[in-house]
Amino acid sequence: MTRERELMRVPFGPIHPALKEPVKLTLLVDGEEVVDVSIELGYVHRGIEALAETRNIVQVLHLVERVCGICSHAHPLCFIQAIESIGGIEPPERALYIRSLVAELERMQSHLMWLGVMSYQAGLLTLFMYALRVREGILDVLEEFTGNRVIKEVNTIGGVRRDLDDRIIARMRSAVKELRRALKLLIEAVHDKTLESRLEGVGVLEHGEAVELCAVGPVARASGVDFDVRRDDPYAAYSQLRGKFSVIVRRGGDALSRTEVRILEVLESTELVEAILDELPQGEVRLGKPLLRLSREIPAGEDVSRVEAPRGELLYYVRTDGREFLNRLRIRTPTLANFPALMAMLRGSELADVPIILSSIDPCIACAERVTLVDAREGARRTVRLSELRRGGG
Amino acid sequence: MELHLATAASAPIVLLVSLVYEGVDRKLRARMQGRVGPPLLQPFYDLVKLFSKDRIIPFTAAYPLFNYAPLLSASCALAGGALVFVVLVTGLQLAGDLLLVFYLLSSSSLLAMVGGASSGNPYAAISLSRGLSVLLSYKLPMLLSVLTAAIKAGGTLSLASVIALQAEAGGGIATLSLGGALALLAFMLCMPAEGEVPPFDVTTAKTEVVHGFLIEYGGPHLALVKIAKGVSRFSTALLAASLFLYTPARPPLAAMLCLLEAMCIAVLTITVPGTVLGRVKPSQVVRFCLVAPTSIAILSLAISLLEAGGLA
Amino acid sequence: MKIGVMLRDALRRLLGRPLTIGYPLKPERPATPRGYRGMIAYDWETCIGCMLCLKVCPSGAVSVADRRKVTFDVGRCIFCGQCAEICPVGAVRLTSEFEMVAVDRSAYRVGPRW
Repeated sequence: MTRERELMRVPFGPIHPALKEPVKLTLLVDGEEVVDVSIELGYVHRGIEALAETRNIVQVLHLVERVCGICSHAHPLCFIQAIESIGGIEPPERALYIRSLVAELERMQSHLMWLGVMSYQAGLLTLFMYALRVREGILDVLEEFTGNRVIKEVNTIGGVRRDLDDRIIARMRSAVKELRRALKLLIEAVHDKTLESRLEGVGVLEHGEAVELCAVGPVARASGVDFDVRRDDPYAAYSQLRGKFSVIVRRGGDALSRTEVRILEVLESTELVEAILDELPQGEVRLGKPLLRLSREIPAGEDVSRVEAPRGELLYYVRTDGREFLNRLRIRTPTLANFPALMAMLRGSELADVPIILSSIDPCIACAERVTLVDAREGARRTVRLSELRRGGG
Repeated sequence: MELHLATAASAPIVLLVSLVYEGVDRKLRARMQGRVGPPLLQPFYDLVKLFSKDRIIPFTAAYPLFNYAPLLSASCALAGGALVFVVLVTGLQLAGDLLLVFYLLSSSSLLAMVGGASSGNPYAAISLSRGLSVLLSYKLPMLLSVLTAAIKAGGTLSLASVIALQAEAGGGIATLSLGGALALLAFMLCMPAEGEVPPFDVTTAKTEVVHGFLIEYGGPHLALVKIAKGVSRFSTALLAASLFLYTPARPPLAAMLCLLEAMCIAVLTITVPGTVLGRVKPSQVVRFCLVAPTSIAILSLAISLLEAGGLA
Repeated sequence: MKIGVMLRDALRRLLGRPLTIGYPLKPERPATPRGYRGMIAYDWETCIGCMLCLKVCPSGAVSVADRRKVTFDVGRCIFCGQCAEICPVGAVRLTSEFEMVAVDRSAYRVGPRW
């Protein structure tokens, strides 16, 4: 019982240099060891789901683009797939390839940015600068093609809004080639002794835990869960691209494995982008019908759609009312699905490793902010408890 | 009396050179990361800005300690640095000044940490506990390598006699003997910890302990702590330059050369590791310092004792 | 296991030109790509007043002006470009202008000038 007096409650956030977004972790610390942790969300709740119920489908398409700044292609892609499946709309083949292409470019820039943030957490600012410099090459071609660096806005009902021309294809090829060259140094840098010693064996998530806590994306794959929506439930052009990429799986379950999975995924993405550019079918990129007529013709119905966002499986539930509006929109972001796994990683870790573990799941707090429930009858506000989160959160 | 005046007169010089190094450090670091970087005089602008701000004292702070520790810390660092500079210029014999310099520089680090920890902030407390163990682990090999130099100079703990020896021999201790070279190596391995840069910046790590003991300091307090830190890291480099790499020349020129060497040592051991290495854990810092530099320092001490014995 | 992997790249950077550029941008300002979605340009004389832009604007930046024309509030605009895409006569366009800071809100109103 003497040990109990030594426990110290360390607040981590909502404002903390290691956090790019506000979230509050309360760590129960025994010396340098984290005994228990509780998480509190709700500082950046934006009410996007409620807002979506007051907009028409075309407007919501641009709204969900802004759920997340980094995976700003995955969200509308997931949403539009649900809408298209409700309306029985089939986009042209070329549009599907372009959707996959942008998704892969997005995955590269997201993982590179993550690697930068990770090395910043470990005090290696030079690698942060290097990763962001490499990422800039990808952002440049994205800007060239879509008209913006991050908010890409390529998706539309029944296709994509812009078509690739030869000049952009050539630029994409050279950007990808350059990235592949730069990746060599990144892979080496992660195995630099000072960085590797900070990542190896840190924040271990066993395979069983990963399955039980419903971890998704690179976090799950680093714990030996061989699952990738792109391969196991193909969307866009991924069913045609099945043989062109492999799913990276590691068994370590620690921060180093998660880093390796992400870096190798960038490498796989470079292969995929080249394959897509090689096989790009000719034809239209969107249906001939006017956009508003398409959206009017979508009947009342509901659908669930999922895509493999850079951070993991992203899930949308959409219910339309048949009059251009939505009855309900539900978003389950990968970060939300990974919070229970994060708690398991943090328990028993060292205090100095908390920022590393936290960023190793690549958290996007604002995206995950949909756990604060408001009970309309009582007007009471409560935050969903961990035990409820644990069952999928969704 | 003259010593006091000379020390007081050289303090601004040491401060100036330390701040110039600070600017060089930031510029070089930026350029190594592909950035344009701040102007060379940015540290001066920073100090002007900080000194013009108000003092903020948290109500949880132990007032006298929190308020006066930065001033004491900066004074200790300036006195230590100025003392080395005075001896360099005048060649004044002072018994035990090596220990005094070492003591002043250590006190400076300690005072800044204790002052910050007296703010009552839990992160500052964590930083102090990390800082104390790191301080002990790197000051030990540093002291051992200083002793090596002293043994070379016939066992007197006076900086002037070490310099005199080097002037006589026509080169720095590190270039003359194996023991001296090893001592310099051990000393330089400890420099990143002294400079509080990666891989050893565990006390002020931003992402882990939110700048550690600096967390509650702002305005003039922060300016003083920055001065203390900047001067003490540069003075340590200056000490290394004058103990191990003194180049014989006429006194003012020799002092200039030493300042230049100190600048190079600081760039090599603070700027470069701080840029290309990541941060390790506190336990790893202590383990590293107590293994690598300490064993090298002990080895150099043993070799020097043998060499000295052989000569006698 | 290596140590100081970044050293080589750091030294190369040290000798090369820095990659960042100063702001405010000097004449050698970087080119904005074609098709960049920047400041809105509105050709009110071509506008036929169909109000489709009003219907699709996600952020409510479009409002009705006199004589069946519209006004864009760039302060509310999220630059999705849906209005430019839906316009049947091409009266709305997103230009490559990206420096939009102004001290006066009226600079953000793009509408008909009678």
